[in-house]
Amino acid sequence: MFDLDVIRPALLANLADLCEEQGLQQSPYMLALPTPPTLQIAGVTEINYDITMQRGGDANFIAVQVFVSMVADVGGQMKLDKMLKSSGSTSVKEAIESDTTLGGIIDDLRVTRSMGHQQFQRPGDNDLVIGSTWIVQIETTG
Amino acid sequence: MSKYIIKDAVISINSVDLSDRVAEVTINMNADDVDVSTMGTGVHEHLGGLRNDSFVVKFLQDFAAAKVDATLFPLLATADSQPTFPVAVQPFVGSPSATNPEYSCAEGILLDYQPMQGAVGARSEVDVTFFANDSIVRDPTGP
Repeated sequence: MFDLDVIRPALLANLADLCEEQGLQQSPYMLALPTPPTLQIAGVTEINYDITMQRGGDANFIAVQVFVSMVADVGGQMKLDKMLKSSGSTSVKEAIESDTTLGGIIDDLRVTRSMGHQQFQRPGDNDLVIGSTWIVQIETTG
Repeated sequence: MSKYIIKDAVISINSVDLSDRVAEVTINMNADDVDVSTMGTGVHEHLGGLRNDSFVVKFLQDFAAAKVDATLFPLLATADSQPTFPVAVQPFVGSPSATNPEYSCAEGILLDYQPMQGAVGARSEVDVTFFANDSIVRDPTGP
């Protein structure tokens, strides 16, 4: 079942080692004023219900966001380069996919894409921060 | 009964309910078209020949016990074994009725099975055709 209450912390558990290594704060929910470096589970982007009969499956898409630094910080951009790798200890994709059932609470997951280098304008102070968004496809039953 | 969205169909293969792994289902009930046209009529005349009924199902593959692969693989016809088995499809859960008819055959046969098909990153789906060695019957009232 697609239960975000348990999926959010389970995704963060997959990302725990990477966050520690990269010095990222973690938030299971969208932050009002994220201070880099921060990783947040931004929420659901799309749900495709009823991919099989009798509530046998849904396809859910979740956005995971990372804010590494202010835009002018080259070091932050270099860190983001590493996090965008498709594999390795700094790869967000590999970290999220380290347990593709999240301990058995979902059927399967896959990081389908990243939006690449992105600039985000923080609400409040309007500062520009650099980061990226990864889309995670999560297959659930019922 | 009114118009409806198909999402709760019941698909049973060899008495195993695989509905929650079915993405699409089609019931084909047709007979061969035999041309019996003769001189002087100016039109084609058709007669129904041998029936060639089938169920076509798109499964989301699942290798767990009592799921898709574990159910289908033993049913595959081989040179040494030609198992036949019941196949039944209903639009909704519940006993067959006038508004929930069951289409079934007692002697389905599986001649072709691809346990895996699909591109990288895609959902694992398999298309399977179950031919009916007897005709598919429509049961509006249930057994």
